[in-house]
Amino acid sequence: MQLIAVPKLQNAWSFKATFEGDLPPRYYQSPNVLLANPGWSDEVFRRSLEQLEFYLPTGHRIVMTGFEQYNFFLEVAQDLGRGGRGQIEAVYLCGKLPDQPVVYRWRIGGGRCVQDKVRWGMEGLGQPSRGWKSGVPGNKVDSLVVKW
Amino acid sequence: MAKPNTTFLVNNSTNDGENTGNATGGAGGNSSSWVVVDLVNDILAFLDTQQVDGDADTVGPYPVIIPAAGSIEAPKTFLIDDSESVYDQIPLAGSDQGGQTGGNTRYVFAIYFDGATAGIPYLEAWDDNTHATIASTFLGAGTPANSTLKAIATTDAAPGATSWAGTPLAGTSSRVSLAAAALGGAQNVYFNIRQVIASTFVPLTKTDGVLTLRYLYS
Repeated sequence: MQLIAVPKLQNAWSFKATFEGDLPPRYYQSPNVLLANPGWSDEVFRRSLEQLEFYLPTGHRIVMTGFEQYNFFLEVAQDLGRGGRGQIEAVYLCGKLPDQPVVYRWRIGGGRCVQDKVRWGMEGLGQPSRGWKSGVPGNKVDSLVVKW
Repeated sequence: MAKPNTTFLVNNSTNDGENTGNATGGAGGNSSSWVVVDLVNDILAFLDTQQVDGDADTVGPYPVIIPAAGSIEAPKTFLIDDSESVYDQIPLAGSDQGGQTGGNTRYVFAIYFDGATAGIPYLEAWDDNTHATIASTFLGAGTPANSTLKAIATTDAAPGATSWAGTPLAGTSSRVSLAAAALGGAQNVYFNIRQVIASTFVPLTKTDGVLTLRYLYS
């Protein structure tokens, strides 16, 4: 049997955080967030983030940089009856603009990857979200999708 | 903030007390009694007075009778407990407009989270577990305000009135916030729910409707 290796997709559904400064660790690479604890609350995230990236299963990568704060979370829907297992409906990456109450928000779910802008405090399903990490404002703000 | 485990529970006593047993339920505050819901096999049912607590699950069900005029709150609420094969009544469910002892009561339905969330948890209702549509007449046939399911969050306080109205449940456009803020750690959130059937209601023979807990974690 012949196997087709696609090494670049091994990081699919994971994020990479790049920390400020030169001290190690310089990066945090999450596991597949659909299968394991993303680790967003780990001790290492006490440091400021220079950049946040998310690897899509399509061979693309979301890159967010220059924001004042960043957040990452998953949306789960769990039914009472007819299944009952909590199902992950979407993954979110958020970046708050420096000195403005505006959040750039990526939602990856339902086969779509969409960016919108929402008011600060409305990014978590219309309510404030918990878990913001400080960024390194001052650099150019970018929020885009690139090929891996 | 890993993904929290959640446990749905119902208070099958007439005593309004907290779920102190958390994920395992059992005896709670004020002599309440909490039953863990099997999310796969148990069913929440809004039924007529003819259905009696402890009925075998082969008896009935006796559906709510559509009124000739106005509307009626489902007289009784049950958990059809698959493991016990019985209708287990939830006496405090609903308001004082139904046929039970519900009203200004706080600890009726609980969801226990064993960890923090990244956002406020919501209670929603959908046509089915794809969470895509709210076309069922149970949910107002596309008009959320007409949903027959009305819920109220009681995590922080009792409803404040015995005849509480509740928020109609239909998709994300009409849903209930189960807490005032993202959960900082393990805790129970509480709610109450009732079903109101109007004289104009078109009966259904089948529905795949679901109550859905939606939350964020990181």
